[in-house]
Amino acid sequence: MEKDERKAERSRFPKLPEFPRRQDEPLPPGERADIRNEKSFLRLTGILCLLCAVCGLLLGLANLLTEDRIAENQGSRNMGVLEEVLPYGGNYQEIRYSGGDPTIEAVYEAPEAGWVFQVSPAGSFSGRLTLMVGVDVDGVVNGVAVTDSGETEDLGLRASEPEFRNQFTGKTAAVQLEADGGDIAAISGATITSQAVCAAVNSALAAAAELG
Amino acid sequence: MKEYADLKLTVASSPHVGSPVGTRALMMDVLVALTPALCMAVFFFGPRALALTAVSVVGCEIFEALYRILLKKPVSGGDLSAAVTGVLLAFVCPVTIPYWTILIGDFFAIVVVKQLFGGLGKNFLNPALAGRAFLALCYLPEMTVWVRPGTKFWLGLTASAADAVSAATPMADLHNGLLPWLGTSGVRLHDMFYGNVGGCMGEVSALALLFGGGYLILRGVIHPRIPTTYLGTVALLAFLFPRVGSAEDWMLAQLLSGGLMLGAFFMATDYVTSPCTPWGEVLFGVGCGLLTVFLRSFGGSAEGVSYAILLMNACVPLLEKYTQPKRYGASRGWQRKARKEGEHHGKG
Amino acid sequence: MNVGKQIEEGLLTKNPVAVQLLGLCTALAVTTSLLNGLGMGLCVLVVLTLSNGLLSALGPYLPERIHMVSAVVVTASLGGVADLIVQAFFPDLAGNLGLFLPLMAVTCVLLSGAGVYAYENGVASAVLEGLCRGLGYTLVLVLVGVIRELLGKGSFGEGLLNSGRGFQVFPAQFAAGGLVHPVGGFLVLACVIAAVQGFLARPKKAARRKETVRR
Repeated sequence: MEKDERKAERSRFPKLPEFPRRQDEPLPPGERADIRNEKSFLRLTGILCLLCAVCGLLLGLANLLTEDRIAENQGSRNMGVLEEVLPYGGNYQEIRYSGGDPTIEAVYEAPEAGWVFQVSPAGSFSGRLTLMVGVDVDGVVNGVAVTDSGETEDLGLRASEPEFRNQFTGKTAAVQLEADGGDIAAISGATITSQAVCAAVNSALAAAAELG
Repeated sequence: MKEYADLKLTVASSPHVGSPVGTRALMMDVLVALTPALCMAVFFFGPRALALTAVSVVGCEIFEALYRILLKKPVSGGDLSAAVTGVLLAFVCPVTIPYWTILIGDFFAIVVVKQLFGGLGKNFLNPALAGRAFLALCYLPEMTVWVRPGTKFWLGLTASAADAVSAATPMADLHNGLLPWLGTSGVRLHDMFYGNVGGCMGEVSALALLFGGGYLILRGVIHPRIPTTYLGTVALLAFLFPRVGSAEDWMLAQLLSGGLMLGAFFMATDYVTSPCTPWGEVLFGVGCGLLTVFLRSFGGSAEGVSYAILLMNACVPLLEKYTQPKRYGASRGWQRKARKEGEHHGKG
Repeated sequence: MNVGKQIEEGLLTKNPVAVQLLGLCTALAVTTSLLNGLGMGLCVLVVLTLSNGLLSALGPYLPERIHMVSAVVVTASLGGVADLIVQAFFPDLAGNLGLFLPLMAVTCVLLSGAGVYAYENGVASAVLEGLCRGLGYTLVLVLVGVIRELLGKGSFGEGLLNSGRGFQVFPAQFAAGGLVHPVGGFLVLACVIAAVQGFLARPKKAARRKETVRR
């Protein structure tokens, strides 16, 4: 009874593949069946190469057919966020940021209109908060959007609520939370995240001053 | 031959001497010991504290009974262990928490943590603390509203944010490297001792909790090993490495703030989830103390008692395994051999 | 070829996730909603079925020594193609699945046991096996996804049903948001596995009881 049960238990799991047997097809007499046997070695290599070539071709073909669409999707996703924080209409150009602020990950320039900074502020709760901050040529914050809130953190998500984000629109000088003497109302219960967003906006403003 | 039928003989293996102290009596003692803290909670936060505790107790008992009825297991409601879980869970929540939230915590504590693992005596985490951890994970905004003590809450279904005057807690000050009486909360040391501070309902009053803990120790319900080693480790580390101020000030502030007293006397000493060997208890207490100090100093959130105890709960089987007392008449080598053999048979 | 047995094993008694505990990485990570669970499940289902069929057909022409390598190459390539197709035509789903979309190839190799079944059986049987195991995987992913979405966000089928808006079953403020996080994945998957194992153990218990009574 118990033995049967254990057997049934074992049969619920798949049989693991056995180590490949030495040789499966009959060999002409006198030939040794191992990897040093040149004929069989070449044959194995040949078949594998052929298989890999066909698979590679398949992948290449799939890539060829989908490449443009994927690039298009990627572009439109980024465009959406960029347009949200700094409406422009034209093409944003990613430019190299040479300043000293390590929290700025990327800068997109909209010629004549301003810049969008991708900032990942230090000291956020999850360590992964990433924001897009749009600053126009006059150094005025135009919009803030959260692109990655760090998925283990509920409060970071609330930073993307408009009531909080819109407080930053129109700011020109360094921002601070009310608790620190500024005029930004923190998200209740998420002071650390709110501080991080302020830091990100300040970084973007400083970088915009450098660029403009 | 006939008289044999009338004799009610029970065939059982040892031990043959029964103890008059059952689970129910022990749990009753714990409930009595928790009463002073409940009184202080009602005194500082109003009748809502009492109502929340009552809802939590009833919720726990109902979930336990429902689970056992639905799964056709013997109903064990009479042992009051669910009631203790209910009180403890309410004690580690802020007074503004909505009633439905605490019921969800009750459900998680009783059904997921306790009953799914086999019921009383089989859970490997403290149900109340696991319930709190779950609430902190899912309802962080509700769980982090701290009100100024003396703001009386009546029975309102949801204590609206307007009523809740957010106040900085001593815990938050300590986390920011400030002594509470110099920090934003402005709480003095004797306030922290009586419980006149913002915080979770049952955690605020160190005095009431010390009373309760002393009662439990005097009654022999808990052994002082875990509380003393736990509090001692925290005190020693705080004394040796104060972040600001004098060593004694920092140590007292650390000892009297947050959930440390409640955790040390009522949570860490839970029979089911603490080691049953003396040295295991000592190691358990020291481990809780170390983790609490580490989490408070380097963690993301201000308080670390609940996670420290939960983590040590998970270590209990290991602690018990390596602190087994020497069996009478057995040599050390023999014992090691026996343990190894046990491992091979999968008993380890 | 025992069709009924194959279906039962794939879906329940040898369910790849709930019983054999294979592909847990994806089952934990992507099941934040019905859409994600279903999307990932269907991708694996299609790739698994195709690769099983292909390997079974190719089997006789491949020396046994390179069976395992070929299985990995074929499955991984098909997985790669599926990855590209999802990225091109379902960009939202691809964004949600993120890193786990390319990891699908690994899941498929695991679920097919590196083609062992396919090589040993005919094409039809291998295709059915792939289909059943893929369905079993999808079933668990959908179940976990629905539970996590419902309890964690209070919604059902967001991004998929009701022209993408889904149904808000109860207000999001009551939802246990933590279940959408990775911790919730562990909790819900553990409960689902426990439920399935409990269900599978039931007939055994009944049989044992009957036996004791007979004795």
